[in-house]
Amino acid sequence: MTHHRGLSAVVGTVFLIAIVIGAMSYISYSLDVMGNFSESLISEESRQRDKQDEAFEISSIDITAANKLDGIIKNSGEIPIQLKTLYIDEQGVNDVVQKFTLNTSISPGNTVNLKDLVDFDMNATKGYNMKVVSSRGEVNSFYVNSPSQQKLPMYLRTIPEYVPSEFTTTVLFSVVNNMSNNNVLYNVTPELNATTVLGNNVGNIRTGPIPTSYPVLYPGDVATFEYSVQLTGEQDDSVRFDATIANGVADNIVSTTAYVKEVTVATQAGTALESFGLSTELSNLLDILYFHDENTATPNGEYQMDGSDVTGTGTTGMLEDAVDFEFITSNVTATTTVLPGNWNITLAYHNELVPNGIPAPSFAFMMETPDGPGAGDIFDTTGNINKDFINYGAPTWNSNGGPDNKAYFSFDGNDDFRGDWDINKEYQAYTDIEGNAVTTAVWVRIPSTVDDTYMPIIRWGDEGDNASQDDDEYEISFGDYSAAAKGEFVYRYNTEPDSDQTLCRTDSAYDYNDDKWHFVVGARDGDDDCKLYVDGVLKDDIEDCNGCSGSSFMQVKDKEDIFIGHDGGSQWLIGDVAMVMHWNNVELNATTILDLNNTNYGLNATRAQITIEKTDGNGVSSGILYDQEFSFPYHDTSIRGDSENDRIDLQKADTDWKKYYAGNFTFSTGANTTFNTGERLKATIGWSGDSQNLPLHFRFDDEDPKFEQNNILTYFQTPASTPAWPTFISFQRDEHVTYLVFNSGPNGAWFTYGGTRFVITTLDGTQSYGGIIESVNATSGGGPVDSTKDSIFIPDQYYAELKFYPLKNPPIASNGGGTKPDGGTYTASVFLSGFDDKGEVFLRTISLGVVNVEP
Amino acid sequence: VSRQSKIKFRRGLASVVTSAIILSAVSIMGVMMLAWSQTSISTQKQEIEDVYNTQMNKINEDLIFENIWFATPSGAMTENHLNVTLGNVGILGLNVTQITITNSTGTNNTSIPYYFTNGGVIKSESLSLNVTYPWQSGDDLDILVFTNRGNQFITQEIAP
Repeated sequence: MTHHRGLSAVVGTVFLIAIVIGAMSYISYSLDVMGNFSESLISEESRQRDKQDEAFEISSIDITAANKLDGIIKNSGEIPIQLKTLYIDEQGVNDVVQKFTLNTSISPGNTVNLKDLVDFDMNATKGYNMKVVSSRGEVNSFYVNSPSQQKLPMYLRTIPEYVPSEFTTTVLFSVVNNMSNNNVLYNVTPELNATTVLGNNVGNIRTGPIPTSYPVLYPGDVATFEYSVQLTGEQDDSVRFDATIANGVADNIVSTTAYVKEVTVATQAGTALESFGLSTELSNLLDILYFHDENTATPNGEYQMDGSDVTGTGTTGMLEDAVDFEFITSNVTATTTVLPGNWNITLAYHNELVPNGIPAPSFAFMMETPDGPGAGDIFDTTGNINKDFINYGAPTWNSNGGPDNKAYFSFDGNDDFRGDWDINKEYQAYTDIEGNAVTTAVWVRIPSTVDDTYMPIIRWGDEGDNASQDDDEYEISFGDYSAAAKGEFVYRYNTEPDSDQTLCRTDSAYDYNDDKWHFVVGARDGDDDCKLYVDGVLKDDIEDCNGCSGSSFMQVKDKEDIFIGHDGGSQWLIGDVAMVMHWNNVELNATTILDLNNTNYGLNATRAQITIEKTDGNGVSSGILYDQEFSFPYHDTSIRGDSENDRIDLQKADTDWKKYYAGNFTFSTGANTTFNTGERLKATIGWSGDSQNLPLHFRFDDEDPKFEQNNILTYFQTPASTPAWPTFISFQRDEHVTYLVFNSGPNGAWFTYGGTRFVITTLDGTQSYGGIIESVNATSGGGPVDSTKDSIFIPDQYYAELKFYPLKNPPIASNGGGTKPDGGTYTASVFLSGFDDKGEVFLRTISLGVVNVEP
Repeated sequence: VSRQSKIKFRRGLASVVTSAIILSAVSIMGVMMLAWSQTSISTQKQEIEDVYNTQMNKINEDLIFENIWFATPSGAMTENHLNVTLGNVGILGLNVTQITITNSTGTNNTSIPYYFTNGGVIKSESLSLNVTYPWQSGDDLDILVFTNRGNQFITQEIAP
C-alpha cells in the first residue's frame, strides 16, 4: 500500500501541476484581456473627456472695410483645440454652402482672427448661417445679420399708448435669443415700420432705434431697442407699429398700436412748442444758413452752419487738396420739413491761375474785364507787377466767346494794341528775359481773312526805336515776313538785332488763320533754344539758329517795351487775344503745357465734390440729398480793380472783398424733405483732383459789411423750412440769454413766471446754474415777466422770444449777485411753463444739448 | 502452500493489477481532461478576443454631424433634398452604410432609408451625402446614420 500511495501521489501531483498550469495560463490570459480592455476604456474615456473639456467661442464677428468676413475665435476650454472647418451658408442661396478648411490650432485662452484664415466676401445686408467644427467634433453655430429660419420671441410696447397730438411716445422693441443649440446671433438690427390705421401720417419716428443694432446676442440674452415717435393727428387717430429684425423669418413680426388722445388733465399737455435754440435776432430766422469758421459744439469738428450773423475776421477756405470743408447745422429740435425747391450754396471765391503742380506765372493778363484801373487798361493778376498795362487804340472787349466762352480783346490791325507797360526796374525779375529759361503762352484767334506775312501777338522790344536804340526782340507772332511762314505761328527771339536770331514755327501744312482759338506756347531752356507748342502739342523744337554765336542776352532797353498786338513800329495784330501768361526763369514741359491747354478758364474751371446730406446727431449720414461733382466758373481777381492804386490781384489780402465773386451751386428737390428731431443738415465741399482743376479760395464768416453790401457772401440757402433752422448756441456768461420758441399750435399760449427757466449744468453734473425768465417778446410788443405778470399771449404759429436773466447759482432775477458759471461747455435745458387758451397747463423740458459759455 | 498463504499471494497480484488499471485510467482521464481543457480554453480565448475587438472598435467609433442643409431642386437633384456632412472624429476608419430620414412632425412619420456602399470615411475626414427627401418647411426630421459596425448616430433638424 505504501507503493500505491506513492504512485498515486505522483500521478496526482502531475495532474495537479497540469491543472494549475492550465488555470494559471487562463487567468494570465484573462488578466491580459482585462488589461487591454481597461486600457482601451481609459483611452476612450480620455478622448471623451478631452471632447468634453474642449470649448471655443466666437468672441466677435465683423465685416472689414473691404467687406471681408472677420471675427475672433477664442479657445475657452482647458485643452488645445484644432479648428477644422468653417461652413458658410448665405440665406436665400439654394444648395450652395461654402466650406473653408481652417486647420489651425489654438492654445487655451488664445484667439485667432477669421480674416487670417478665410477670404470671404460678405454683404452687410444679407444673412449668413455659419458653423465652425473642431477636430474633436465640437460644432459651434452662429448667425450673422439674421436668426436664419428660427422665429424669435419678440415684444413691442408703446409707452404711453395714448398721447396728445404733437407729443412723443416711446416704442420699445425687445428680442430674445432663444435659438436652439445655444446659437449666437451677431449684428441684430431692428426694423420698425409705422402704418397709419386712422388719420393721416400719424406716426413719425423722430429718433431711434437706440442702439441701432446689437453686435452680439448670446443665448438667453435680450436686445431692447428704443424709438421716439411723434404722434400727430386728431382725437382717436392711431398708428400701428410693426417690428421685426433684419433678415428675420417672414412672419416673425410683432405689432402694437398708439393712439392720439387729448389729455385733459396732465402734467404734459397743451400747446405744442418747438425749440429754436438761442439767438439774439429773430430776423435771422430765415432759410439762410451762413458758413461759420467756428467748430465748437459740432459732432466731429465740422464748421458751424446756421442763420446767425457772420462774425469775426473770417476765414479763407483753400479748396485745392484732399481736405474737405464740412459745414453742419445744429440738430433740429422739432421735426423739420423742407419744402420742394432749390437748394443753393453761394461761395464768395476766386481762382488760382494754374492747376496744382504747375508753377505760378511771373505775370498773367486774364482779360476778364475791360475796366481796369485806367480806361480800358489791364494789369497783372499775379500781383507781381503792380503797374497798369496801358491801352492804346481801344481794342474791343468781348465778355464771352473766348476759349471756354470766356472774355477776350479784339485787335483791329490799325492802331489797337496794349503796351508801353509802365514798369520799373524792380519788376525786371518777372519780365527781363536775358539768357533765362522762359515760357510764354497766349490764347489767340486769327481771322481767315488775314493775308499778312507778319503780325505780332506778344512781343518784347520796340521796333519803332531808332537804330541806335534798336532793341533785342522776343515774340510770338503770326508769320515772320517770309512767304514760308505765312499762316504760321512763330516763336523767335533776336539777341543781336537783325543778326542773331533763334526761331521755331509751325509746319506750313496747316494755316492757322482759321477763325479758331489756339493755345500757342513758346518755351526755351536758355539762349539758342526754342520750342513751339500749339494746342498743347509740340510743333517745332528744332531751332532755326541764325548767327547764334552772338550775344546770348535778350536786352530790351526800355523796360516798358512789351506789347500785345503791336511791334512798337508799324505792325499791328488783326485777331483776338484772350489770355497771356509768362514764366520767367521757367521752361514748362510738354506735359504741363498740355495740362494748361486742357484747363478750362470758363464755366468749368473748378470742379468740386458737393455733398448735401442729413445726419444724425453725431454727424453720421442718415440720407444723401445730393452728392455729385459741380463746376464753378473761373473768377479772376482783376475784375474789381477800379483805380490805378486799387489793382485787385492775387497778392491782395484775403480780407479784401473785391477779390471775390459770388458763384452758385444749385440743385432741386421735388418733394418735402423731413428732418427728424435730432438730425442735422450737412454740406461738404471737396476737391476733385489736381488735373486741369483750378484751385478755388472761398471766403466765409467775414463780418466786413462790404461782403454783405456787395452781396458777396458764402452761405447755404434751403427751400423754405418749417420750422426754421436752429442755431448753434454760444453766449457770454453775463449775457441775458434769449431763447426762441415757435408755437406750432393749435392753441395760443401764455408763459408763466413760476416755472420758466434756463438751466446749464457742467458736463460732470456737479454744478448747475439757472436763469430766471425776464421777458417775453420784449422787443416786439411784449414785456417783462415776473411773479405778478405772465407773458403776453403767443398766438398759434408765432414765435416767442424768451429772455432770461444771467445764469447764476442760485438763480437771481437781477444782473448782480450769485455765482456766475465759468467759461466752458455745459449741457443746457429750458423749462417752459404756461397755459393755453383752452385753459390747459403745459410744462415742457427741452434739452438743448451742449452749449458753449464764454467767460 | 496453505490456503492462507494462497490468499495472501493473490491479494498482492490483484493489488498490482488494480493499481495499474487505476493508474492507467486516471492517466487516460487526465490526458483527456487536459486535452479538453486546452481546446476549450483556446476556443474561449478566440471568442473573447473576437468579442473584445468588435466591442472595442464599436466603442471607439465616433461620428458627428458637421453640417446639414436643406435644398430645393437644383442641378442633378430634381426634388427637395438634404445634404448631410458627417465627420469621423473617432480613432478608426468607419463605413456609413445607411441614412434614414424620419419625419417626426405630428402624425406624418414618413421614414425613408438610403443605403450606401461607398460610405467609407477615414479618421479625421468628412463625408458629404445628398439624400432626397420630400421635406416641407417646418418639418421636424430625425436623421439616423448607421455604420457597418452597427453603431447608430442620430440628430434632429427642422426644415427651413
